[in-house]
Amino acid sequence: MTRNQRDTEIEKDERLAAYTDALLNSQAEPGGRISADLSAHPEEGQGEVEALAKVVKTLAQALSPHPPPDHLRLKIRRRVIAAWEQDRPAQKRRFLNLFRRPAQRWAWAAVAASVLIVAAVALLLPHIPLETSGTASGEVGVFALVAFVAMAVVLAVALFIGRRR
Amino acid sequence: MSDQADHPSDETLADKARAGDRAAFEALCDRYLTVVYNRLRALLPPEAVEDVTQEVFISAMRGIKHYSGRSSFRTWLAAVARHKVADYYRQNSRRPETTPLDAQEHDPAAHDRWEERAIVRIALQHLPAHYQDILLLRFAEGLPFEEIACSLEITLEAAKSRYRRAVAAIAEEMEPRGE
Repeated sequence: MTRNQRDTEIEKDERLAAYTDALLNSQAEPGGRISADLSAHPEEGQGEVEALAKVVKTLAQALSPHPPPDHLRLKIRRRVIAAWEQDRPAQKRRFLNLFRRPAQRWAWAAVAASVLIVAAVALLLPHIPLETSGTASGEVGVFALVAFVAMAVVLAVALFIGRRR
Repeated sequence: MSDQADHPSDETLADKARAGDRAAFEALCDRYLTVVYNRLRALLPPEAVEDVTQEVFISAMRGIKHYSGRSSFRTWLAAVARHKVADYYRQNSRRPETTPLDAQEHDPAAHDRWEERAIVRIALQHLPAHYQDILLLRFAEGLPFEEIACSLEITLEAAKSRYRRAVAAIAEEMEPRGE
């Protein structure tokens, strides 16, 4: 494309854009302004831009924006709220979801039972004479072993029951 | 700072929505309802516009975590709307479009307007996305060319050039076919 051709194309772009702006700002006169604008440069594609101006007028009529109805705004708000709660449950619901399934409840029961067993052993241990290797780590080892065995047993029971349902 | 607090940017609201702030997403819905509604009015039969508008926002809500911020929120939402329009036509391809009763019987002017809108709507559907977008941005959304250029991340000159080519393309689509 030569420089002159490019300038002509840019001129056409500017003319059509200016006509569109004027039309949409309610300043263009139907069939009048665009002809007057092009009359000074009849050799510069007047016919093409005039033809496109008619299409622009059709588009402006057919696609003119309208405000949405109020009831649509309310409907969307309600649907968004409902969908939001469903997809992103509130903190409370997220907490309750941890106990939703029976297997989950059994697992949490196992954890609680283990904690209770460990606490009971910890409280009773000073009063029970234990024959250990004689180091402090021996007592901790008993704790850990008891807690581990208790948790494993209760978890196994929970999973077994959960699978059976 | 107070301006930002009063009118947070789309990206700020989108970030908050992604983090779980429902009010931020609702603010985005309020901000873009008119834009989406008018886009869909241009692309869909009248009876489908309200339902599909709702679907666009629900889909946007569910997909907000995938909005990376690489494009503007407006552009991203327009893409969501485009997908919903495509879904609508996939599901309703066999249903013929019927003239609303009032346009048929009582008001010839309304019938003419309905027919003109239908012709433009069908022509728009046949345009490539970048031509369709620029026409909708200018006419259905009322954005001036400077803002269109900014939204599309092109120069003002490129926006006006694309606009003229889009008008020429839709003019060709609107030509009556066959004799």
